[in-house]
Amino acid sequence: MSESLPPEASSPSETTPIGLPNDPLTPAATGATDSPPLPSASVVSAPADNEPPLLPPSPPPAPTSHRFIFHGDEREYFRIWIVNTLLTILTLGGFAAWAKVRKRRYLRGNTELMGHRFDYRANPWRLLVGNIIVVILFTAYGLFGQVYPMVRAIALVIAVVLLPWIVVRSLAFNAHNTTYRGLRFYYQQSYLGGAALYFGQFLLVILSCGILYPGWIRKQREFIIGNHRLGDAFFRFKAPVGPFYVSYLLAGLLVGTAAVAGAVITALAVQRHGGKLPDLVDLLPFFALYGLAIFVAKQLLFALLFNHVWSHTTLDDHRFNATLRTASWLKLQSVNLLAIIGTAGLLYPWAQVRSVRFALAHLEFQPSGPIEKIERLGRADGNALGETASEFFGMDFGL
Amino acid sequence: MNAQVTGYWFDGLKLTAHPATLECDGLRVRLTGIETSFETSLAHVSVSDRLGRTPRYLHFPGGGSFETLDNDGIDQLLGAERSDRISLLIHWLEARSRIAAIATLLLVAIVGASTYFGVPVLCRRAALAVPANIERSAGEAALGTLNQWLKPSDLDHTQRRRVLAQLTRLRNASHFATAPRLEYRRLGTFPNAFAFPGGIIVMSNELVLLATDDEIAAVLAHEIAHWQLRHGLQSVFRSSAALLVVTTITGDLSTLTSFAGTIPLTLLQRGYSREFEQDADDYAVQLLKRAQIDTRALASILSKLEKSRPGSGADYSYLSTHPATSERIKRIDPTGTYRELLKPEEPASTEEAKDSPSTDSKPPNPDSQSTKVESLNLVTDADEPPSPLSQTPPTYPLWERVKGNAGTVTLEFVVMKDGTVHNVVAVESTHQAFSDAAIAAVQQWKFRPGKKAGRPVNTRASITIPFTLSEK
Repeated sequence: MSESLPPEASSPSETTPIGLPNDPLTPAATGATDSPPLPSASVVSAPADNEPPLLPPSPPPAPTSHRFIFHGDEREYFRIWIVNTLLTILTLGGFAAWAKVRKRRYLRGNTELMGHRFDYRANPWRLLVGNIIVVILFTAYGLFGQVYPMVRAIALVIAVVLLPWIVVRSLAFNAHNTTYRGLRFYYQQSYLGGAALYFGQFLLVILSCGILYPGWIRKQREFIIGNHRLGDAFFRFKAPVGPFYVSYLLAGLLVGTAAVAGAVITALAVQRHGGKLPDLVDLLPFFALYGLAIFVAKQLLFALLFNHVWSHTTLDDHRFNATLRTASWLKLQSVNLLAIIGTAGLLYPWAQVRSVRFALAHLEFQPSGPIEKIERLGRADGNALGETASEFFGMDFGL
Repeated sequence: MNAQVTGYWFDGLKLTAHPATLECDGLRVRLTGIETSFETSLAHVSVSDRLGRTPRYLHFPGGGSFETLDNDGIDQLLGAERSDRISLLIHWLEARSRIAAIATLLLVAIVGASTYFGVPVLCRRAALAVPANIERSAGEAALGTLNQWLKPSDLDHTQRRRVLAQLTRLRNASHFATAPRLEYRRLGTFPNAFAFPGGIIVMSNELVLLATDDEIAAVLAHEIAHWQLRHGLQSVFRSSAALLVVTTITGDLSTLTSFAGTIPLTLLQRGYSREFEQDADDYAVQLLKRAQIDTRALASILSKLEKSRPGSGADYSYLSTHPATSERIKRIDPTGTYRELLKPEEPASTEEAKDSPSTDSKPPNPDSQSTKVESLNLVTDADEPPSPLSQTPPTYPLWERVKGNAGTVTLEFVVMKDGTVHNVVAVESTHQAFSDAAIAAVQQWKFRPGKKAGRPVNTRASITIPFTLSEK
């Protein structure tokens, strides 16, 4: 839930196993979580009276499509990334909050829809508070947890109980600080909803031995997307669950095949030199194959679910449509992976810009009418309790 | 100055974008649009930081904002004093390729330097600060993992008592806060001993049977040194430090979760660095001296271990914790009493020879990637046998090299009239990979052809090529 839309997908180094709540294998999740910048709408047609003179009075609304355009530049972002990373290190992590805001602002500020950019306005000081809390908690856990095992158990319980709250807070914080044409996004916080999703339904997934996992991922998308709104326009996510199962089945087959193939190779190698136990060298092909399969599966899932999730997301009556081609995405990410590995991570920002640009180029917005009708919800909205709270409690745990 | 900036005005109530222009006289800002026009004090307006070519925003009291892509225009209009100096500086840094290049170099240098200098120091401090009970539980976790691969020992009581007696000798000479705990295991192929955090010392059956009493004391002293200097914990910290650096840079906490899982494995796989071995040797020598045990016992057991190590390191080669034995022996025992044990073929060792201490014929350079070609045995009916002009040495197959496999290959081939080599076949080979490499190399060889009655003829020849490894 950090960075903007596809960047998560562009960090191919992560290989979290399937099944964790923050599973990167649910890249669509990423897409949607970070969706705040994207889902905003406007219709070119009607607002002829208000629109900039640049746009001539357009013909009445046929279902027009507007592509998302990404203006980011690899070199420019690399410069920003490297300077901010260096400053973060030189300040022993203190600058991290500012670096994060700048990087995120760069990605959102370069994302254009219907002639206007998104903006990210988070106050770095609030992120700093969040960072300090995290550091204190982790240090305390590390020190006391080792000496007093009880602390470990209690901390674990607290962390689990807090998880939905943390997720919801982060979403609200990021939504609140993302704007489009002067309007803020908003995330309807619901701790109970989060708890039901992350405890109740996840328990079902475990009981079903993971069979229900793709369905749970869909629920998760629904929970995240469905609670977002821009002004008085609400996001909705209604998608059939079938493609989720198909995608995860494909990814699972891929990883499973690779694991079996790797195991066979290892077994053959062990047999060849007559040892009873595999040594590390024998295991290398297994890990290589398995790691590669995880990577491909992750990117495959991203591409498949990106299309499915966005094509079933609406903002009131306005629609989205995504046409990311799996093969091209895999090719792009393979090059990214090689570049990142080859430069020991230095080309990470380069890969990020490429990923965002590519994904956004395959996402379009199809307004059903003038988006200028979208207004702030309620006069007092700006000071509504929810938004004030999310502003006050600026937390972003980089989930 | 009648400068103005064009952009859009958003009222914060609707998504509608109103084209507008902005003017500023240094104190007041004037916004002019089709529907909205107003003037306000510059002090009430907040301006977003400049960042790349992203749009700039002016936020007005009441929730309205002005958006423009004209970054330079805004800076000119409002003057530099409006933005705070830090953000101006950061933008200045971000906008320059030369700064980016310098930052890249600095970043690489900092990460590199802290990995090579800072991290070891920090890790030593951290390792020494770990409380003893935690150290012990870390050691037990590691031993538990290792137990999956080790067989229990069937060493009899006499042998165990021998070891215990030596431990007592060392303990009488020096005081440790807690007593080391002895564990015996069977390793299968070659003798070894490990120390785990918390003072757990694992001796292999083979080692106990191989070593004299003094040598057992020497081994114990060395392993005690690893424990007392907390080398195992330092290794763990070192490998996790790398993870922390990555986490800091990418800002991704989720990788931290894998940290806990890596600890037992790291203990097993890391092996001690050369520097740890030297420290442990030095410490052991001191300990032995204090216990009035001949320090040469350490050198002698090292050379015994080296000799007993099988040519093929396939089994447990990753557990090998003792690199560069010859150097270590030289360090412990500069007089060289035991050095020749490493090379029984040449008892009267010369100074130059002492770095290649192994029993079979070796390439002169222990790190050389290729093998030395010897014994060209030519079967020929020619009057004048062919003589080699160029002999490309075969490449040592990486896979076998990593696994520590050695072997020999015997090839037969025909030296043609033109001096090229044809029909290379392996008649004898210990490993497929070796014969492939040997054939590939021999095919490139060039000969002065053999002659019969003064005329070049095809000649049949055979050669045996050894593949041997340096002692790594």
